[in-house]
Amino acid sequence: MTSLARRWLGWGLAWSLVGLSTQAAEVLAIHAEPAVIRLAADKPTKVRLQLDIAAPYHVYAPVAVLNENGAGPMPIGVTVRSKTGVKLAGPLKSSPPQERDDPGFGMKVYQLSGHAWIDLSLARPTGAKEGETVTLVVSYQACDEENCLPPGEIAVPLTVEPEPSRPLKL
Amino acid sequence: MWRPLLFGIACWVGLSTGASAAEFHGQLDPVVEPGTRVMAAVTPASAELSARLPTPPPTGAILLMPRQPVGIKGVNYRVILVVAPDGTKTLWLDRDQDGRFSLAEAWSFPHDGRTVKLTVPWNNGRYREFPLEVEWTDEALPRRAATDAGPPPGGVTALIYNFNIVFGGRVPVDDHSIRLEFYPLPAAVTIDPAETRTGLDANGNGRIENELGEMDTGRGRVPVFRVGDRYLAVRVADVATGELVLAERSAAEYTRFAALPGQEMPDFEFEDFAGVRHRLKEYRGRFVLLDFWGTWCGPCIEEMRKMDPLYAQYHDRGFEIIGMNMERTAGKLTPAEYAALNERARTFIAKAGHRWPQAAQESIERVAFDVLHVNSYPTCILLGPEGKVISRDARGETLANLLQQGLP
Repeated sequence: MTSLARRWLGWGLAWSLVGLSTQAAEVLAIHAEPAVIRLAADKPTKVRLQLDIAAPYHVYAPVAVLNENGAGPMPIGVTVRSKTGVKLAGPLKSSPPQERDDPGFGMKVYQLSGHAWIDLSLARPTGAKEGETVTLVVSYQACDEENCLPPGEIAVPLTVEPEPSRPLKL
Repeated sequence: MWRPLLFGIACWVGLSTGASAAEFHGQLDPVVEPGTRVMAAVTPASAELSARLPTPPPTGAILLMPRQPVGIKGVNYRVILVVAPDGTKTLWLDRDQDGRFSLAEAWSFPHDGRTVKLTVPWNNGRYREFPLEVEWTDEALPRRAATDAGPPPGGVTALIYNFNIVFGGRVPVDDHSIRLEFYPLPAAVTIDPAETRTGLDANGNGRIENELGEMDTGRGRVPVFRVGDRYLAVRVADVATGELVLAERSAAEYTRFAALPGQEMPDFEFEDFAGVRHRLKEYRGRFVLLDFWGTWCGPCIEEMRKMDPLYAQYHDRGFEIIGMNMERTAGKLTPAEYAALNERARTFIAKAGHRWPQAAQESIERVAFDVLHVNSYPTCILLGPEGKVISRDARGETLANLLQQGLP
């Protein structure tokens, strides 16, 4: 048995402590830190999404991997619903994922479990002055060792306040 | 010209569905139960956090804290676990969020147990307390094993706690008191009958059994449950007042098929990836495995690999598999998106070399969502030659054994 397999066996035993019947969106709790941001037009601002992933499930880190047949897990993703043009500025970053040899896909996959986080940067177009509550739509897929839950989406509200206009220098 | 006709239709629908359907009134429980749990790895507590304790810890004690905040319905709590030299463990939780730990915010773990029960304030309608069960564990964690081979400090690797709750309640119907449970999403504090997963103990045996159709998520429609000869749906579940109301619905609104052994699977139509239509009943006379899968699901792909030799062995003797491909289960899809998903699944099937027929997602969504309520992948339902369910969990060795018995 490889050390990785032993490690996962140990993890499996740990998970067995917490066998609860959970489904789909119930396995993932998300909140944004901070929940209110001030967003300047010319300066991307970082937001951290704190994730609580219910045992015994894991979700997949924002690393897209496909096997030779075109199959692969759905990495966690974020899209922004905004009326004023707030958008993502750059790729998502996550807390260090657990690397695992997946017997189904026949390749390495990158998982998040327990507590984890996702960092994202938001930007808004020049000229946008009004604040709004944008919705961060987090798409994800949760699995345990034997099964996967149907991929789901969770909407996370985030209040965006406009940067106060700079005083004119006379 | 349309108005009289629409009025007539509305009257007919009202009469035929029983506009004055019976209602049954009950109550939500006065307290909620702990729900979904999460495991939080611990790390030595920071000096800044340790300084918030009201008294110095015992000499030689180890102070630990979760690596990330303990979040309960959007509120983060400061937590310290103190492990005394004799192994005694005490949990400190800043319950009132005043930035420090008071003597009233300490809970000692029993010597012969690993769990403490407490509550945190929760101003949510009739509910004033959120029950919290915190357990410590010494099981190895993968991340820890990857970075630190030594023993965990204090013999503790993680705290496990519930970040969610379950609302329960009872409604008297006829001579019975029906038990209901509601499992809200982590961020939700109320119950939406059309969206919140609901359990209803239809057979009154004290358990809510998903496999018997006693658990359902509406996906935008209030689920209908069958209780004896009645069809019931939650009309009101109000966390502010505790009001819980079940309303009678028509039999036609009950679409669920529990797929219990011996039940005859309803016929349905599906389209393969080439757009050719088929019906399930075309396969009568054969053992048929309905395999719900997606290219995103590792366990599904592993299962399909195990099906290959069984298909080769039993297909000519009367065994068929219908791949029920579900590539996307969230959000509404456009025709172009369906086409792209079909292409992805078709390409995968061709490359992986699986030879059995496949059903495209758009043609089987109603069967998957509204009839069978598939909520775990893979789901493998084996039907006998008469179209009756043999097993809803026909995977691996179970499938091999069932085929060996049925097609010796």
